[in-house]
Amino acid sequence: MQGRSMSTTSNALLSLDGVCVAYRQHEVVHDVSLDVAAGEVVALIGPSGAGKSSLLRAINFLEPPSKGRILLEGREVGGTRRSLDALRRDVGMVFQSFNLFPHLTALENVMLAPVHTLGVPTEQARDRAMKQLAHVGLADHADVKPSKCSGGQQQRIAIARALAMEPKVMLFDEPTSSLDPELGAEVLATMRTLAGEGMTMVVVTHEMHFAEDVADRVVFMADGRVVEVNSAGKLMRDPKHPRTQRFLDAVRNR
Amino acid sequence: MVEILSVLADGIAQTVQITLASFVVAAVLGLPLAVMRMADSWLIRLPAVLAVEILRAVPPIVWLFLVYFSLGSSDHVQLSTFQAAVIGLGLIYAAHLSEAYRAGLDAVPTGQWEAARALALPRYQSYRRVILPQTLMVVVPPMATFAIALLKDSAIASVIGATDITFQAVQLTQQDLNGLGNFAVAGLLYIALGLPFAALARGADRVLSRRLAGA
Amino acid sequence: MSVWSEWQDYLPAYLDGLSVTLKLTGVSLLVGLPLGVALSLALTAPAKAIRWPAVLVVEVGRGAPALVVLYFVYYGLPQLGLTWTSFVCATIALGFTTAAYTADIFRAGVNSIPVGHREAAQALGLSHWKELRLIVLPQAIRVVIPPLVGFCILLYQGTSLAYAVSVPELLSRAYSQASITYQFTTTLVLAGLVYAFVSLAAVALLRARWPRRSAARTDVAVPAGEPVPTAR
Repeated sequence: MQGRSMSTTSNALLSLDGVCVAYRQHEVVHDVSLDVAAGEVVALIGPSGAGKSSLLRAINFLEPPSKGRILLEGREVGGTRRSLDALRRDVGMVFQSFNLFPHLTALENVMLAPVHTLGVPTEQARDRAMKQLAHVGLADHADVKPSKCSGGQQQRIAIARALAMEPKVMLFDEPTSSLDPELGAEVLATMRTLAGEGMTMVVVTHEMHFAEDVADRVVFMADGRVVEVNSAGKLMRDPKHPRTQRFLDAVRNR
Repeated sequence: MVEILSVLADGIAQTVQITLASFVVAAVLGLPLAVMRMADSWLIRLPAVLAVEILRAVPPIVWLFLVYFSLGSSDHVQLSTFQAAVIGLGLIYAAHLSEAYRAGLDAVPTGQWEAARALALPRYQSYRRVILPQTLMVVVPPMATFAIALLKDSAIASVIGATDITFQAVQLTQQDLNGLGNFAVAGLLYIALGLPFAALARGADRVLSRRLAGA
Repeated sequence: MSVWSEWQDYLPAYLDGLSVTLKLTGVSLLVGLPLGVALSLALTAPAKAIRWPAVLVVEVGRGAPALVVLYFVYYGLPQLGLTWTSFVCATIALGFTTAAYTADIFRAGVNSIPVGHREAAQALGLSHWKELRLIVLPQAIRVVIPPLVGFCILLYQGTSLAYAVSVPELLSRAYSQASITYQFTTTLVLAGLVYAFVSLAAVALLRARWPRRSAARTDVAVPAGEPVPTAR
């Protein structure tokens, strides 16, 4: 019940209120409440199996929450297809495995949703897509198929694809986990730029430096629960909970 | 051999027409069947599943008899042997092709559906712009295999009297009693007609494996 | 007369027909399966003189319609002075088709065993026979059985072609019933139901014993309102 009262902060752009996620009978996320303010960058960290990705996917209903509510700008989401579509238009998602459409060029990937979801006229959508590709530094790759791009480039195209919907919030599901460090770095640089421009972001990540340097707040999760939430500086340098301490020690001594 | 061929040649057009027409019917009906079978609501899934299972559980020759003698010889409907064969074989192979389509749809990675959903693409656009284009190449090799099977099953149409290669061979044999020669040539004719489909399947397979390997 | 009572009248003749159908299926398998095994071995033989004839037999057996093969045997063999009953002709033709199809299934089964397993067996000093018996066959059988059962169902349905050479099997009984009563719909629908019943029972058995590789699906929850994709 304490969670409920915390979640009603009026200026939150995105609120999770008592969210649970279950696969069949098996609950993997237990009662998570969290507010994300406009312009805030929140990092979700924790050991694998902690439920970070499940929680992130619940935010845009790729896994519908089994209990609890998701609120965007104070309005509850879910129930109808229409309300879901509205949510997904406002929430961009970047996947660990990029999920670019392999039969479309970079530009076509980025244009697809503006044209077919938002109904933007093709020419206008092309301009919008080119702008976003330039934004992630890949204007020269517009006519290239994803298979001809490096992993880092593919992930940046995927970011441009999500940005082309002009979302209010961006979700990142371990965006660098399937990249080697060098290619991951260029993706992280792009995300840093985005954060600097004031984009609201929720990022599941194993990159502790990114969490410490870029995130405003860090959420540490273990066993499907939020163990500790604090400003990035405090949580990373001075964790209160022994579980958090153990995790950070283990990661740093690797 | 040449004389035999000249007689059987009269049936080639009919065999090819039955095969192609049935294949078009099957390809058109098979896709909605496959999509229905992937629906969430069992109300949509059930009729499709039933249709596919029943179509495949009864021998083709029984279907052709049913269509020709039962459906096609009523007071309201009169079907030619060609029409009956195309309807019967078309329906049976719609069931087979729906399996091929479904395998193709299944071959598209989960992430592609998720990305389409995360972009709020409408269901129809997800199929049309994202999933089906990726399904196409995967579906060509099994489709070609089914086309060959259909070509062979088209011989059954001769039993209801369609004047195809097999029908001509039976007629000829009743005159010249040269069953060995006539049916050997007929068999080779079917094998020869199947070669283009076999080449198509192999070609598509090559393109596909190159794509998967090279990416 | 209601459909039910009509069907009750037909049923004894149909069951006689069904027993001929099942007999034909069984005998064709008895002839075809050993030939199929032999052909599959010949297909992988190093000597071209053995391999090429086997390839030819398999290609012809799979490429020509079973009905044409049946006519070839039925109308052709008497030319060579071999006159057999239509049941024997159907057995020869369907046995040949069975051999050609199952040869491919058996070969795929043996090929499915990773080279590493055979190499490991050789490295352990197993004899060629023991390698086959202990390593190759137990694994191959698991791969081979589902498509083999699938083929049996196809063969069972394929025996209906023997109608064309007047073997008194299920379809023949239905047709002769129809030509007496002119009730094509009721006679043929009942035949279809009998065929479907056995086929579907076999399919159900196959799926219960060897479920499709759907295990990957069970650990991925798919939200309602969305199509069900599998992971690859």
